[in-house]
Amino acid sequence: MELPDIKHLSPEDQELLIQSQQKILSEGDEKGFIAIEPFADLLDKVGMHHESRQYFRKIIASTDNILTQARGWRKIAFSCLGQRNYIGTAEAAECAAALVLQLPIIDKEGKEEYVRILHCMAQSCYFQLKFEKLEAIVKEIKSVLPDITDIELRSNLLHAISLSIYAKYRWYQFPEEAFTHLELQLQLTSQLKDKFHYAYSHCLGGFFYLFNEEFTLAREHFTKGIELLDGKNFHALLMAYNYTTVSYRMQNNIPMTEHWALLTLEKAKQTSNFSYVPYSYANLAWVNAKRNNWLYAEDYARKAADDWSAIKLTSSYAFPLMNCLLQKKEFNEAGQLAFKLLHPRLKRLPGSLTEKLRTVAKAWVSDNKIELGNSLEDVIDEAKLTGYF
Amino acid sequence: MEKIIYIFHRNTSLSETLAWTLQLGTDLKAVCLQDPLQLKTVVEQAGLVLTEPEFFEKILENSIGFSFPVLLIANNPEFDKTIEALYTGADDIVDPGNGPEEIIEKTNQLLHHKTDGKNLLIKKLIQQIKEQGKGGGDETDYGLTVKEKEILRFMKEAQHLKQIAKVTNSSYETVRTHVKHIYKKLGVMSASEAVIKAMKIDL
Repeated sequence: MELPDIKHLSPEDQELLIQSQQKILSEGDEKGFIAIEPFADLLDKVGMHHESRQYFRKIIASTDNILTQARGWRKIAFSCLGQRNYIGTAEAAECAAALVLQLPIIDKEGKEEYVRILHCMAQSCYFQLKFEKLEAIVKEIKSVLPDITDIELRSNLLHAISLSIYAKYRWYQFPEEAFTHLELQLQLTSQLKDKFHYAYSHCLGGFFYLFNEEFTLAREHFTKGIELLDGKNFHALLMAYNYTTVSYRMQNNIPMTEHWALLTLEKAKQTSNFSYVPYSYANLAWVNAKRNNWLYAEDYARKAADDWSAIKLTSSYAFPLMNCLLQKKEFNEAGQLAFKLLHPRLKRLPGSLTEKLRTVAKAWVSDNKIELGNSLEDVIDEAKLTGYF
Repeated sequence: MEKIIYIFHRNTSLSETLAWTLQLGTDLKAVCLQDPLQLKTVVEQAGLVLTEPEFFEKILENSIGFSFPVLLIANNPEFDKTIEALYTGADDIVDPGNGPEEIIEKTNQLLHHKTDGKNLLIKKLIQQIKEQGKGGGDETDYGLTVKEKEILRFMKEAQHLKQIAKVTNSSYETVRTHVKHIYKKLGVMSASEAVIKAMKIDL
């Protein structure tokens, strides 16, 4: 078995991979095969998602055991999720679910796998903004939750419930229940040996505080998450990096936003992340728009917008792009953006800003150019006041 | 077969935005078409059509034998063509100026057959027209047959053609033919005009 190119990794990660590979080679055929799985897990953990999936596929192809196959598909789904490849995640999660449901009587191991798959499917629906499906999965999760005693599994399920809270409040002004839920998750995951879950709970905590505009608290959680992740598990790491960037952006801190956006972009590119590459471009568009570098701002905003997976990130690039278009008096496209920002599946914005966006959308639909130009200026002013531009 | 939402609007920027909105809001594929003739080749896949009222008649002509809900995209619901389209089978109106939420909501209602506001909508529009059209009486019956008078009476009660076909045990096509004859005899171009005339002859 050849070791994939790992020169870009830290010496510590390279060493871990070499050790894991040696374990496969030193064991006999059967045991060697078993050792492939931790090796693939490790590859995924250090951000080599594509390579890890190749090994998971090998495992699936070489076994008749349905449960092992299901686990393989579920791990492929999580690996895709690590890159925010939502379609890949959905396809693999469906395969995993179909396999587990084939088992006549689901034993303890099967039940646990089913719960992990549910968690995976919940994430897939959440990221694809399929909220009705997410709700259905969460309902199923709530029905199995009382029987789950394993801490890791319980924390996974609580995470899936968190996702439904994000979706319900559309990433704006979370209620008290969200924070109670967060405390429970932090408490549960702190008991686990593998610090990833605890780190991830901190990242989620940062996310909750960020959208309640408590930036210092949000950054404290992200910092703790980054520290615990120790440069691994990019799924969570990039989230912490990216939303630290957003926290500075919402506080109008241009140098820190730029610093964190570049850091996020570097790591997101390294792991071919589908979501945080365009999000970083959106943040850099904001930095350049703030510096009145309109050409760069527009270029970055368009790079963000052109990525299909950036649909749900519309509010991250829309305001810098709108301002660029306003400078060029290209009102039609700006009006179109305002209309899109009102979509009920996208991030909810402050009421005052939403009202101004409605005026723009109305003027755009009725092709009232004077009203459109005036109302667009109002939107930009309001976005600046509310921390969205 | 996966159903598709087809959108007909001359403003391409608006129709593309509506497609984006619906794709994200309904999980169905949404496709923009420029000419109702194009519908002929894809009509089997149509789960719902969003259109300007101006295209409605052509959409009907190009989808004979197929049934799907139609949502009219109209900024001004009093516009004659809108009322005409509602009479002849369109299911509801949406003003995109009210934003994406209303469009998604109405689309989902139609996709799940939950619309029931159409008759009220037509009645409201007729009332407006009636107010505008108050004037001298007219005693002529314009040579309308008994069947045509029956249909005109139903139209006055704000029933649309699909409903009239059901109540009178006729096919939709037969009712449409009767309606065309009514228009010709009354010398009108639209359902709303026909209803005003019907009111004048005290039908």
